[in-house]
Amino acid sequence: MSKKKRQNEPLNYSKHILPRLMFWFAVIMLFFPIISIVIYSFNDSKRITIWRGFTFNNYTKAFFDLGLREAFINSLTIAAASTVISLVLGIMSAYLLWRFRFWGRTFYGSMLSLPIVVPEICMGVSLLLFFNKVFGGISLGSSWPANLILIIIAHVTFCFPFVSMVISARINLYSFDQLEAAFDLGANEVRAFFDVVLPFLKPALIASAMLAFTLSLDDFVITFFTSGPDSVTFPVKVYSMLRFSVTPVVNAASTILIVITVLLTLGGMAVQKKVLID
Amino acid sequence: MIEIKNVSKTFPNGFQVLKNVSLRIEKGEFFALLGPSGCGKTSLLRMIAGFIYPDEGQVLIDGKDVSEVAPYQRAVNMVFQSYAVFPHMSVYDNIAYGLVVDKISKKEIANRVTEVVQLVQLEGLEKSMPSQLSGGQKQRVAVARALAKKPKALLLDEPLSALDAKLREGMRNELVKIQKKSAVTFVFVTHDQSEALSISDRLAVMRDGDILQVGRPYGVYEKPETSFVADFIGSTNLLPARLDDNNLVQIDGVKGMAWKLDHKWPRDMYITLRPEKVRLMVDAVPDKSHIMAQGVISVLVYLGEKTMVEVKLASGKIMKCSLSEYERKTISSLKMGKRVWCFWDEKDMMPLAK
Ligand SMILES: Nc1ncnc2c1ncn2[C@@H]1O[C@H](COP(=O)(O)OP(=O)(O)O)[C@@H](O)[C@H]1O
Ligand SMILES: [Mg+2]
Repeated sequence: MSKKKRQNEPLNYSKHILPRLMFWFAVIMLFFPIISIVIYSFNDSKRITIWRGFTFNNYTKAFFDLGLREAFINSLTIAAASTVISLVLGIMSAYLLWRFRFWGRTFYGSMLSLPIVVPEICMGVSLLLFFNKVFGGISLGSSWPANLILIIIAHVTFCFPFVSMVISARINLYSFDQLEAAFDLGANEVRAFFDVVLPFLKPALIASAMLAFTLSLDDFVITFFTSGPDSVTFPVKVYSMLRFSVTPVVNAASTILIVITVLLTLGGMAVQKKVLID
Repeated sequence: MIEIKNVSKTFPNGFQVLKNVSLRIEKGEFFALLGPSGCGKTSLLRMIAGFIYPDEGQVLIDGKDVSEVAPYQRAVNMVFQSYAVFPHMSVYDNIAYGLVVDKISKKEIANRVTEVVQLVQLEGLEKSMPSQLSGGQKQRVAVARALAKKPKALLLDEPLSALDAKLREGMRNELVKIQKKSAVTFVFVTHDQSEALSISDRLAVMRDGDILQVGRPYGVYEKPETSFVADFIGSTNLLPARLDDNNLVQIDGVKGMAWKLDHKWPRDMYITLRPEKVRLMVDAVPDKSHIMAQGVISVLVYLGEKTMVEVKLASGKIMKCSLSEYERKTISSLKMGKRVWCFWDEKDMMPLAK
């Protein structure tokens, strides 16, 4: 390879000491706290700061802690429900924006992503006010899973914009000819959508589902405002446990959450690459 | 049979693509819609398919007015310029799709798919995915998929334009064969005049949303009715001419004319003359029985089977002249800047109104 060509490639960082230092500094700052939580979740000690040897006991304890387990199941239920609802809404809005030209289309399109830029704390407060006004007099029931409905609605409000963004990006690559070919061969609008448009959206659906699931599972601020004593989620439960005492059980619970999140994010990233190709 | 009756269409942005178009396409014929890019060919085809509706006029298929019928209820099928083969379905599923939608029995579907797969010669590729196919094969899938529905007409929008030159010629002949075998009416859109001439039973020449002339290929070639058609179908020499008081045609700088037209022709008109009818003579004067004009060779392009020569006449007009390889060899000193005589016969000329 000629020397001239090389100049256009990124510099090889490993040959220079300063970039290398910067890289490792960033890695340590970012990941050290997380790594220490993971390590201390295996600590055989009641107190969190002293290392007493390796054990899986914290995980067993976390597993048999009924409150923690209930919160975990709540979180998974909420995440699954808000993911499905966001996907359905996201597909519908992306299809609407792609398929039809109508008055206020651009405005509608940009309003969809507005919740992304609204600070979470404001979303939380406004949802709390909204629910008290709207559902104040009505009881949705405190039995499972009716007690989760408000949280699910809240989660949909912040999952949906991301989902519709990813699906819109994908659908804008879709060739109108494909849809017309399906019409031409005898499919009506609904049939054509399920037969040829939806299969094309598949990578975007997988990627945005993973994104929505992670966002919902991790959310603390908005959930904190909208959850009641009988509808606690995993992050909220961990937070309340911390207020009593910082035990290695909390570390174990957090580690489980981290692992799920990382796996989902990696999976989502792997699929996301496919969203904008072919 | 497809009939288009006085159809006009204006797009929402105010652009009028079709201006009072009327056309009749007979059952079982290979019909070409020919015209320069942007003249409204695709729009007319899409109107037959049902993707756009006429503002005025009617579209009739086998005598039934389908002007307001949705595309999925029309008995015509389309081969898209991009082929639009469904990427997530195998070749078999692509071809079967239209039949599955129509809820035809599995056995009948299998029979029909086998039939069209043979017709377009895709045997052995039924299980392949479109990403494994070449451009030509994808096109065959698109044709097979449409033919499987046994349509009243197959609409093809510039199906050959995306293929490379060698493949295009092969596919062109292939399409003619498929059409003859299936006996389905083909409506074929193209901007390539040689493609339209070679492939079609009849053709229509379009310009700016108008149909200028309809006819058999040789008829349109031999007897163009307007200067646009004359120039668009093959190249031609367009010479401004006058009729004198005795109805004799006069062309500046041209000798030996004694051509009388009837008085219906306007005083100011054009004469067209195909380049292959013009012969050249260097270093000698042609026989007096010919019509002739003198000039200087300004362009000389050797094209293999023929040679294109442009001669700048004394009047300043350029005369295009196409020599066959045999003719070229009989003329010894063909060079740029050489003085030559162009000559032709009265029967080679066609009068055209301005
Ligand atoms: N949906 C549309 N809205 C506005 N103008 C259009 C639309 N479709 C096509 N046109 C215009 O109409 C003209 C004819 O288009 P088309 O039928 O595709 O021509 P062709 O196939 O002969 O090239 C073009 O100038 C094109 O820009
Ligand atoms: Mg076109």
